[in-house]
Amino acid sequence: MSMVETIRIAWRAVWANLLRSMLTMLGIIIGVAALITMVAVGTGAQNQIDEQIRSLGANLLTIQPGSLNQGGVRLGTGSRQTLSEADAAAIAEEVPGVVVAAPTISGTVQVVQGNANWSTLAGGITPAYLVARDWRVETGRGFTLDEVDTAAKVVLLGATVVDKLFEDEEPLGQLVRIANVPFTIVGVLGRKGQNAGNGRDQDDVVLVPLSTAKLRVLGSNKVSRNAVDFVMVKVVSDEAIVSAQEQIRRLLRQRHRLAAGAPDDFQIRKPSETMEARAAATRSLTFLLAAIASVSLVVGGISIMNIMLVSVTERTHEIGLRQALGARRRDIRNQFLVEATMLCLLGGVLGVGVGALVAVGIGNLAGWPIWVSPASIALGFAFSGAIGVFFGFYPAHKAALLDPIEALRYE
Amino acid sequence: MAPPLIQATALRKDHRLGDAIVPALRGVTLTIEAGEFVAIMGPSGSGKSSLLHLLGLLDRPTAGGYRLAGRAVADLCPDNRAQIRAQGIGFIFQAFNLLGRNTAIENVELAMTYAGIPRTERRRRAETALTQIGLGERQHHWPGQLSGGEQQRVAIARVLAAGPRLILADEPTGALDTATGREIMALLQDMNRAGRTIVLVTHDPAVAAYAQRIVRMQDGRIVSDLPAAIDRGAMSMIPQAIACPETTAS
Ligand SMILES: Nc1ncnc2c1ncn2[C@@H]1O[C@H](COP(=O)(O)OP(=O)(O)OP(=O)(O)O)[C@@H](O)[C@H]1O
Ligand SMILES: [Mg+2]
Repeated sequence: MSMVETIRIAWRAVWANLLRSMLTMLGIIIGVAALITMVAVGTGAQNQIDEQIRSLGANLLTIQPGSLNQGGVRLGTGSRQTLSEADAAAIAEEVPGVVVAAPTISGTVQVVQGNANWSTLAGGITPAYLVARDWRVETGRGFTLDEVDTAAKVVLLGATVVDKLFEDEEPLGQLVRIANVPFTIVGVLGRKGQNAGNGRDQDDVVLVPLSTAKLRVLGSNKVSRNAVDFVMVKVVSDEAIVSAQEQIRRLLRQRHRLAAGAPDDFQIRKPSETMEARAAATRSLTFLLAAIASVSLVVGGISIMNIMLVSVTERTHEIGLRQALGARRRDIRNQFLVEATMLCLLGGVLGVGVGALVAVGIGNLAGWPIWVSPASIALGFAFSGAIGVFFGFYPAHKAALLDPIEALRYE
Repeated sequence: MAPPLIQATALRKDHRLGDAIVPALRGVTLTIEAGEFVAIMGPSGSGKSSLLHLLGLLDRPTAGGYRLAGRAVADLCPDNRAQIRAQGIGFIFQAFNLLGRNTAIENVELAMTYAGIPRTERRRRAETALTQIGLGERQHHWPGQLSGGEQQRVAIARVLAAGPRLILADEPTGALDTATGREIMALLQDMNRAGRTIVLVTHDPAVAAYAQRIVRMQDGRIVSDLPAAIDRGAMSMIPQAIACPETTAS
């Protein structure tokens, strides 16, 4: 008998006992819904972390002067101003896999515009900084090399600073005073949101050329004219990070003429590290939750098997009649196998729907990021189908092996 | 000459009932030519149904040979037997044996489904058959909405539409009143006239009268096998002559 006929017969049996079919499916519905919900919550959390990592800038290393531990005394980073613009230039030039190395200084400044004034973080940067952090200039433009060379009084404003200082006016081209020096606004930065690591608003910032910063804004507190607070290094790929880190370390030790046993006078860190650990933890949690949901799916499968066994017994007479009319063993087996699989797949469809609704509901109530991924839907279907075939096989096999006479005599 | 449609030799059938073995057939040899209408009669428990099940390939003999249209079929595997049933054998049982969750016309189509006849063809033949037996108007009724006689007519339509060479009927009128039984028998007789071979089990002499040949069984053996006209005479005049030696011998 053709598969189409078999499916038609199975559908009829499912439909004829709609209430029972629904109850039978319930385990699968709950299992798949749980799977979809758990994975949606987990994937959402993970996407959020990934987004945060991206907002830091992908494949990023930061180098700061000073060592973590020196002679048993813990020193703050930046305690010795050993890192220079020349170091950054050397890293960019000599270390393979490095896209840019951005020497940067920073400090707190007061920004004044008309009556409004705002205390914020100022960064002295080179164009490489925006590349390293994958930071778009939303309107206007970034700095030219010429402006950096000539210590031009130009500034890029972070989105939060714009919000604080300007109400409706267009900031581009206007003047703001930073540390009492007038600067022309040449661009507004794209929004990056909160830094997931320290919770700081990344958009609460003004950026000026590194040379200008040293000369007019942050220069007074620096020991050496050449020193920088940190260098941001962007590496071509995630795989290249470890080797780049090692080579930068060797290069800097050599440049700083450190003796063989001496500790590093700088630190290289990967700012996304803690977040990556969180991402990994979230991933394992998602897996764990999915595994728990899968267990309930398996329990649903067992209840399908149970009902199918009851159904085979109940329909013994029908099976005998079908056999008398010429049904082969495989016709009977397929009929019940398709019925079980159909129940599971229908349960899967409903479960995906319920799961997606629950996930969205949870997301709205708890304010969590939710992502019902197509992969989890496919997984839900595939899993429920497989459960149907697996747990449907034994009852179907039992039905197929019935003896026609005994089946016909069964009341 | 074509081989006989049914050629059973020394068929034995033992039923197992726990540890006990119940012999239902103790050596039945029977030949039926294509086109015959044969009635099998005999007391309850004499093995009539057991024989019919063997002839219909629903069951396998414990011993003995069986050729169906010249082909040895006693030892075929279940799927091969199912195929032969689907294509060449139609059953009519005492309990009407319709699927309760399928309409009349779907029940009629069922046998053809297993014979692999395409859907549109099935539908057409089922409609024709139901119209022919006078249930054309009720093809979409459920079995529960039909009377016993109507249900049995649906079962007959199922056989009619599938068009098997061999029709096996086990007390088809057993649950019906006399008038309805007569209608059913008329339908069977029509099918026989159309060339189908019919083997019918019955307790009712009036039903057996539709057959051309009457086989009588007792204790798992055939005790008489005569043309209907002669059987009637033989049974009324010398019933003991045939029955007694067999019963004393066993
Ligand atoms: N499945 C079975 N298991 C055990 N014994 C059986 C089975 N089927 C039939 N028998 C026995 O085999 C013998 C013949 O039974 P069968 O059903 O063939 O008789 P029958 O002639 O059709 O009787 P009836 O007229 O009552 O239908 C009986 O003794 C019966 O008890
Ligand atoms: Mg019987």
